Amino acid sequence: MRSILPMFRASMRSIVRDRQTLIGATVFPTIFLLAFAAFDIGLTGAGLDTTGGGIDYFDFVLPGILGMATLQFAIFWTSGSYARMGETKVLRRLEATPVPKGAFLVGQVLARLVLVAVQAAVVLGVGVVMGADIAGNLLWMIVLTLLGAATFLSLGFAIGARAANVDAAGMMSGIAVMPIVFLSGAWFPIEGLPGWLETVMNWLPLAPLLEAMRSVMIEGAGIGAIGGEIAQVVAWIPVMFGVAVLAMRPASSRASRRRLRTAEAVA
Amino acid sequence: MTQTVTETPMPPEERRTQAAVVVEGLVKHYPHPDGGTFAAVDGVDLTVRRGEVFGILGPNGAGKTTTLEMIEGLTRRDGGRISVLGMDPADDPLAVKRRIGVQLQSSAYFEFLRLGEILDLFGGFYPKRLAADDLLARVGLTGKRNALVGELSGGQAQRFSIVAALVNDPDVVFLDEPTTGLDPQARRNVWDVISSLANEGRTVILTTHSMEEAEALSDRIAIIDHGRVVAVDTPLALMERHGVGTRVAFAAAGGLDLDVLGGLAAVDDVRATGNGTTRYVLAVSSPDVVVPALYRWAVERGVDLADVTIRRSTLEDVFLNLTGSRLRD
Repeated sequence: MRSILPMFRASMRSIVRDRQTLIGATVFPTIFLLAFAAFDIGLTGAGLDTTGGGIDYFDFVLPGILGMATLQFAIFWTSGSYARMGETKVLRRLEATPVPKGAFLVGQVLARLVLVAVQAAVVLGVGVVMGADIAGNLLWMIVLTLLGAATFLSLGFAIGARAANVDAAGMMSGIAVMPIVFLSGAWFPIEGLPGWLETVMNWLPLAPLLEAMRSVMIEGAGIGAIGGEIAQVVAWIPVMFGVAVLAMRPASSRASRRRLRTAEAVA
Repeated sequence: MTQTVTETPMPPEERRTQAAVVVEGLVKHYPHPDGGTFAAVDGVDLTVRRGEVFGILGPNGAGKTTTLEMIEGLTRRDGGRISVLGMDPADDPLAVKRRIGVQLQSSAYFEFLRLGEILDLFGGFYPKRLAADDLLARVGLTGKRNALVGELSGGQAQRFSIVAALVNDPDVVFLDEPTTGLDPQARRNVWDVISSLANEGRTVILTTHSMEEAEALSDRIAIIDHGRVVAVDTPLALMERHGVGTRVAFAAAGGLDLDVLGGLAAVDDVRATGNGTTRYVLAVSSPDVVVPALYRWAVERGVDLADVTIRRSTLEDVFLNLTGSRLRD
């Protein structure tokens, strides 16, 4: 386990130095926030009621935007950067060292969680500035985001490990993320779904995560009230971690197939 | 095209303990694009002694890299036995990886990390490690400590990737085509680094498709073609045993008496090519005897010799002789 710390430090540096992507990761949710805020203001200005059951739509949608931004970072960026490490043979070079896959993954996930926390703080901060009412503890919102992100990051690595290249990783991430976001209650209440689909979505981690976030944000719930949701979200962490480790097949199997084609072409 | 490898046999047990690497009957099959499989590595036997520089020479697609990566524990083998410092990489890959250094044919490093940081990262994976500054200093990259890999020239990047294989102070270093694509000066620099590894008592196993490189660096060379070892020996012994012998050639007026030339001491064969000014090629067993005799003969007969060359056998000749094809087509 001595490899975790150097791996954490290295991936922290890589993330911070990848400026464009880093800026994108904070600008993207901010633009979403602005769009929804404008929508909200516009509707209110037109004399329409944007509250449902006494809940302001902007307050309802803020955890959704936070969840979406986290997914974006955790899955799209992570799967892409892991696929790129495969393409550029960084992974192969690592395979020649005695670093265990688990240690690699833990180090990478921990570093990215730091960024997730920063991103969550930015989104919530901007949300508050734009008039969101946060009844509960802001720190709990960030902790919840991190718990969800731990699972999403593993999923990102799993996708990156299975994708043939960076482009494919983006496509596969889209296929995995988009339906889940729409069906997990990020934008619209999940209760509108057919019964069976609602059951499925409630088993996946995003719906309970959003549920818990809304409880904290809107009702000011403490940890006691959201224990069930937290347990559900946390239970996914080791499951997805295991999936990711299994998905990380030796880079050599892919590379040798590619080399074979080259050899054939030469011959 | 199978040639028997003649080497003094050692009892198997003794070989395994004294040698750095022993490979027996190594096989790797890959699926063939047209269906079925083909053997990329087809029964390779190798014994690499401790402290020697061992060159694996062969054309592209001969199975050099696959062989190397099976020994390193990066690629699963389909048959045969491997022992690296007495350990089997299939049984305990981590124990093997702790004691070997690997430079891959084309491997990138983290694009956003500086050289010093990459060496620190890799060093962190091992119980035993060398200081990043010392490593960079030995390949003349001290000033590049804070550079990114993408900012290095080809030669610098290659030197860096060799030194990155040394972070764990390895006993055996694997270099896969360390100078491919480098200009002559950069190539020389990499050669110096490789020679220094051998001077420190490390075992070095390198692949190359350059005969010049194999000859300049290797204590012994294995020639590989179509996944098989066709010969193993020192460069000199290979050229003596499988080469075409030494040739003395000169240009002179046509019509010289070939029988007289062939009758000179130590001349085995004579050929003449060209009309008018003819190029004569003598296959000789000892150029030291032939050359003075040739000049004496020319002076006595009043023959003008021009462009006299002595060419000994090259590894290219050896390769051609053993496989029937040229190394570079």
